[in-house]
Amino acid sequence: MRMETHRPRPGFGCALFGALLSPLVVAAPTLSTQIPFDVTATPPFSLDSLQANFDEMSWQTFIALNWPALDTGQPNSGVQIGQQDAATVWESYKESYQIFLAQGQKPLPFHAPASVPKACEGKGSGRLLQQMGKVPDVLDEFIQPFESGPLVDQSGVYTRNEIVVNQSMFDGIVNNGLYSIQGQQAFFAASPTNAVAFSCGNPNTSEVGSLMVKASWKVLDGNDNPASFHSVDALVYTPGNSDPSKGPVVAESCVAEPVGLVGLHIVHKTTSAPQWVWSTFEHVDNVPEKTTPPAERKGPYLFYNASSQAEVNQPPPRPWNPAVKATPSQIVREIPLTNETKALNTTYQTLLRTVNPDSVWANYQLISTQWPTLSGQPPCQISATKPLGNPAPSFLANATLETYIQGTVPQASSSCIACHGNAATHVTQSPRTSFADFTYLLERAQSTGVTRSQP
Amino acid sequence: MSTDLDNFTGLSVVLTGINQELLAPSVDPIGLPTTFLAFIGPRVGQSVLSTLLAQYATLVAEQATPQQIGTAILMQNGQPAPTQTAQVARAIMKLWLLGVWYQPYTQGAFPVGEQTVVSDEAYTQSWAWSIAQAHPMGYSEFFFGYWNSPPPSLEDFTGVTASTQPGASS
Repeated sequence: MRMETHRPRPGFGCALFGALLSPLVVAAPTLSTQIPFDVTATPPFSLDSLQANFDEMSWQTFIALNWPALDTGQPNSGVQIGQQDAATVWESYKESYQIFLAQGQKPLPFHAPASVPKACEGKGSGRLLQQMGKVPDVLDEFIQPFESGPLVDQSGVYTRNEIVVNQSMFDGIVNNGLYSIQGQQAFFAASPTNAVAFSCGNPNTSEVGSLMVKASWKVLDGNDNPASFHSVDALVYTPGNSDPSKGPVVAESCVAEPVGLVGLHIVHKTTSAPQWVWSTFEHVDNVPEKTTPPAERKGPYLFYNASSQAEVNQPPPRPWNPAVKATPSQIVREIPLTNETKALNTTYQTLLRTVNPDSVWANYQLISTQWPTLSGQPPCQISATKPLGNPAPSFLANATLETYIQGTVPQASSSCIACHGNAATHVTQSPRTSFADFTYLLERAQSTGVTRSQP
Repeated sequence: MSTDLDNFTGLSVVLTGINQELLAPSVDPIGLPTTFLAFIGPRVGQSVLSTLLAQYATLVAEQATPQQIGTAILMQNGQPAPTQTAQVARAIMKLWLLGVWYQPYTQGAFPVGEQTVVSDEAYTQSWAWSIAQAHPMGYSEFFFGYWNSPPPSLEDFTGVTASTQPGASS
């Protein structure tokens, strides 16, 4: 956590990117277990060149995070990515439901095994998935500041999401007591300069810094080719709800099912990007682009039916009940991939196929990377006058995670940095800012039930 | 050889007093100079625009100071110049400050006095808000709770030294 305030000076141009200049000029794409500490910027600097540098960083991070992991969570350097589909590095990270516990209890240590709801006990050791959509109605308290809805696959089944954090970010939450409402209050009360500020990746100290991963999964069924997905055995959990005023009445359930990865956000805070670097990937079969004429949308797609006349990008009607089969979503990508991103995707997909022609990872594509263009700030510091850092591109959406807020409408369409700049802690009555450093996770903190003493 | 965009950007820097890296960053995902130049071209007439940009380029080549350039473009005999180039220059100043184009004279289908918000980004990025150490109505980048703290200094917002003005020092 940062404990001091800083007032930056504008007008230093590309000085910071200059400091991150690679001595190797342009490195060839490689398959590496090393998560980049920061972007490697290559001159001459321009919006396009830096976008390419950040996209390169996105792919390098994607490969490192999806590398097969040992039981310790460390990458298994004895194998190559994609030789076989296997549990990945990021899947060893801490899931949000293990951090923000009932009654604000302290989380178990980072590497402690995950606990599962009683309904899932005895159903295997699969990965617990429960969240449906970014705003999953009453079925999960995770709230984001926009109206959204669940994504439904062609079999009428809801996709499931999860959010995990790496140990740096986990430590930042736990060591500062931010996992409970009372802990957040105590953190702000301890010093007038305390501010939520997670650690930054730093090439000079070889620190990766804070990372969040958001994943979306679909239940694999007879309509899918399981060999084309990175898949895991999951415990698909639906919390029960017996209060009709809070949404559909749903019985608690837990089903062991195979699920395939369809979307992946990677969010990485670095020295040059204190607004974090927002990389987003999808399965190549997810959806067609809006600009592709309907007659050319051959598919088959996971979230689009070429023979359907349904209106596109509409959330399913309420009530949103995952226990009931829903009408499949009809989704198109509003903002097409750039030619440069398509070319980079081809480069990395080809590289991945050199390891294994059937590598599941070659079936994923980078959609884009959103990054702050503002430079000239001291390392890991946010500008006081341009706190969002002039993000590029202005809008970015993953068709599986920001399905219904794609587009280019200011203040309405998905912009990772602009949206997450509104994230706050639970301490809204604080006499000063309670900015949460671009993560809504801290809003999930629950009360210990202990009443705060009055000053 | 400088382009129209180079000259328009340089002229804008002189007219507003805001340095180029802030007004037209070298890495710029928004690109207001390009938007503005394309917008005003048909509204002021290519001839007047070319004359204005050429006047600026000539003064730069003669190594005139920003003050001298501003005076040469905007003033005549100690009074605001009535020329079309001066009217356009004043409209460009207001465009950067407010995000609004005030049509300085009738040109083709554009009647004098017509007011147009050029784009949503022209509005949110307009400089009057930064000079007021504030944010546009309906759009704020500042984080939750910012209203409980004094705003950053005028120098931080504009890069312009204004240490004798209230709230200016950092």
